[in-house]
Amino acid sequence: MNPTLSPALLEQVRAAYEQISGLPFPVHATLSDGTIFLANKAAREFFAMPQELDLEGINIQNFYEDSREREQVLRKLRHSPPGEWHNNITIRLKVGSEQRKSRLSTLPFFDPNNGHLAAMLNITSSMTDVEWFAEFEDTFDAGFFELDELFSITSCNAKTAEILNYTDKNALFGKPVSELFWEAGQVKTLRDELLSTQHLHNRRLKLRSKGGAMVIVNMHCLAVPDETGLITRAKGVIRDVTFDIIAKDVPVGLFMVTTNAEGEEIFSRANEAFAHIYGFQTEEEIIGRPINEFHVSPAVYADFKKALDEAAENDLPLLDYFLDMKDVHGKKHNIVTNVRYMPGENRRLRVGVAYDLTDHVGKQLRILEADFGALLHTYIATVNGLRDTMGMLIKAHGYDVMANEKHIDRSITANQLSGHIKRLGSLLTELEKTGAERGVNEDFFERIRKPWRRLTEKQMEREKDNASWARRNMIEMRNALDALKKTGLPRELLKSVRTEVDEILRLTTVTSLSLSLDELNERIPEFYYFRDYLRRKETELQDAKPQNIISILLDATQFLEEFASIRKVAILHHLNPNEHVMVNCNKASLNRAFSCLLHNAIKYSWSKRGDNPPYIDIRVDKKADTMEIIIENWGVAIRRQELENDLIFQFGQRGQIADDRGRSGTGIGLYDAHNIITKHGGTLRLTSEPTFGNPLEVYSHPFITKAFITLPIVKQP
Amino acid sequence: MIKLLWVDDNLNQDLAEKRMSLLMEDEIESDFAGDATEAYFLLTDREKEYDVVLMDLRHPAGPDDIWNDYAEQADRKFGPVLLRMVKENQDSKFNHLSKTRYGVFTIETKEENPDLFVPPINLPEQNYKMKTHAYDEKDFINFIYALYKS
Repeated sequence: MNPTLSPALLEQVRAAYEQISGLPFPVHATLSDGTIFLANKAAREFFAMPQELDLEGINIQNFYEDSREREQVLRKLRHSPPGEWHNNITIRLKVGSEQRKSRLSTLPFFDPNNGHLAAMLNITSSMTDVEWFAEFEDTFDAGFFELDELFSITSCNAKTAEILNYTDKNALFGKPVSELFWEAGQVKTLRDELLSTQHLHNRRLKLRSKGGAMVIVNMHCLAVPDETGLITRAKGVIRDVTFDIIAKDVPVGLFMVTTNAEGEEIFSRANEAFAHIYGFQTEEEIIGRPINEFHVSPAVYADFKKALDEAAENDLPLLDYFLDMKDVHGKKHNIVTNVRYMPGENRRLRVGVAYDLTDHVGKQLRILEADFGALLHTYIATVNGLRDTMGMLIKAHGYDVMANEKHIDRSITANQLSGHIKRLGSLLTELEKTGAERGVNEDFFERIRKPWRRLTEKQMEREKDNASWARRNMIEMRNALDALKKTGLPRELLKSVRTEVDEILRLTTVTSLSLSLDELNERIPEFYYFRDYLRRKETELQDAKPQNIISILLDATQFLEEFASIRKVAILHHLNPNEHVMVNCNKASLNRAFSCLLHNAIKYSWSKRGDNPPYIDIRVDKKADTMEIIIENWGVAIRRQELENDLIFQFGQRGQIADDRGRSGTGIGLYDAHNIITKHGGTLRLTSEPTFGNPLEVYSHPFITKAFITLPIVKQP
Repeated sequence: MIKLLWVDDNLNQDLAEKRMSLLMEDEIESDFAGDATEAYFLLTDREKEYDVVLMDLRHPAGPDDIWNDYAEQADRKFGPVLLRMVKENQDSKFNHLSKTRYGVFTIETKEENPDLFVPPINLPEQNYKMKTHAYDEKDFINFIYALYKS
């Protein structure tokens, strides 16, 4: 025994021990070094010590699972006032091989000579897991509550108050739960259920928080009925699941994307709605998937990341960002997303929502397409009428310069025009001379000279400009001539001048009409194509029938002959109209695809070879199971990277140099043609290579562009 | 004599007659550019001290690769890019255009183009004309004279 414990102090400890040793708890006394010198029966049982065993050499330290824990206990006690019990000290003890979570109540004794802690009287008891964690009651992420027989709250923890939006849990004490339930009648239902089962598991309840917001909780509740069957009290646990429900049930995709150790971005969390957008049934199926599996193209994803990073630079979320993606089955979706990086995660973690607008956008687009298709149809009818009227005006006023039924011969027109201008020049000289002889005011002639000078001194580069220029000046001259009528100049001379002016006006007008008609005719195939695209029906192969592909190709070629003649592009083909190559197809769709490819070939043709006009070449090559159509032209290049990245087949994407020399276009044709041909089980491939000896990426040289179309052939029985 | 540069990609189509009407004006000497490249080379030509530059907002880049850097932000809207370029380099590359007046002739509204009216472009509001608002030839010519006087 520790010799430092004075007899008086020993007696003091012993007296205190005697007072409580009869209690049904393990009671023992120790010296400050841990030596146990007193222990009642329950204590001997607790520490598994035989009842008759002498306590000599038994030290409480040996029962601590971690000896440092005893040091902590001693430290607490050293700073305690003497004569006061210390409760709620929790320690982990080890008795034999068994671990015991224990509660210690201790009365410290101090040496009166030096004030040092000398001995302790202890009550030790085992704790259940619930008791062991009870000290966390107020910080635990679940609400605990207890109700009396009237179902009023008698006790609860801070979390219960927090769930119900109360700042002080005491404010809930005495409150009937009926005041907290969202629906009237819920209390009765709860009471009835508790009476029948006494233990409710995982019951969902709608509560009303302070402020009126709904809180949905999952509740476990245990009722204690008395012998008459009445509930005397009930206690339970609630967990706020409002936002879990929102996340699960809200019809919008919620997601979390994380960058893993390999630098790959993966979906780390998602709700079911998000999984559905991507073609999965459950969220588990999408978790862990790399997000690049769902990109339409690296460029589209790069654009999105750029926008996200730019928003983050300004500490903003990226809002309402439209993103095209494909689901697990490869189907394209139009997504709009709101997303932001989580703070403090170095842009390796982002959260967001995603809406699938595919159907919405699709519906709107279909309406728009139908409306615009109808409008374009009417417009084409008007333009066709206008074209016919222009044709008739040309015939009526250009009767002497017609090359054929439709077109004037511009070289004849130019010759005639030149003759009239020459004659007008002579007549004006004569007019001025006569005017001078008759004393006509010089100002009249100055009004005539001005347009004449302009006409003869300025030559325009373009035929259309020349016609317009001549016409404008002749209108001015005609007005000036009208003023000369009253000046006494010879009427015959004036009439001859006027006739030449009128002839120049007629010929320039016919020329302008003819050029405008060509412009109109050049645009008309585009109008037709775009109308047909807008009025298209989705190509479905089940609606397809075996049809002669040669005939479809010839139809498309014939349709574009007028356009080719205006563009001065020859169409060379090696198609035998009597040949039959049957392809299972939708005729209108395939016609549209061919028209588009041929139109492009003509439109982008040009030649450096002087008088040799540019041409396009169409060949077909029949193989065992497929046929290949090759459309070749020389002219505007398609850039290498546009071919390599398949950019040319993207909707709305025009080649970077496609607008060379004002060539118009929509960026839809190749996308549409590719789509149609693919749906027919075929392929469309484009190449664009420099003409002989020219460098690879100098696009100002003509390039040979080829479209290779393959389609499966239907074998004749 | 007013030295004018008009940048527009439709000069040979729907603007052909307006272009011709300019040529009828003895007091106006016009140059035309159909894309950003053509415009850039005319604007950098130090012998061309334009009094008035009339700019469409959207037109093709043209063959020069310098526009690739702007393509994404410009979305074919090279008019503002050109105007900004000129104004930001008024003391160096474009100092021969320090007295030039600028106008915009477009189908777009002012509200769609707020950047034009703040630095560095600082376009006076009256120098902005919508094509629909000045479709008549006379109005158009008067607009050019008004730009010259602005």
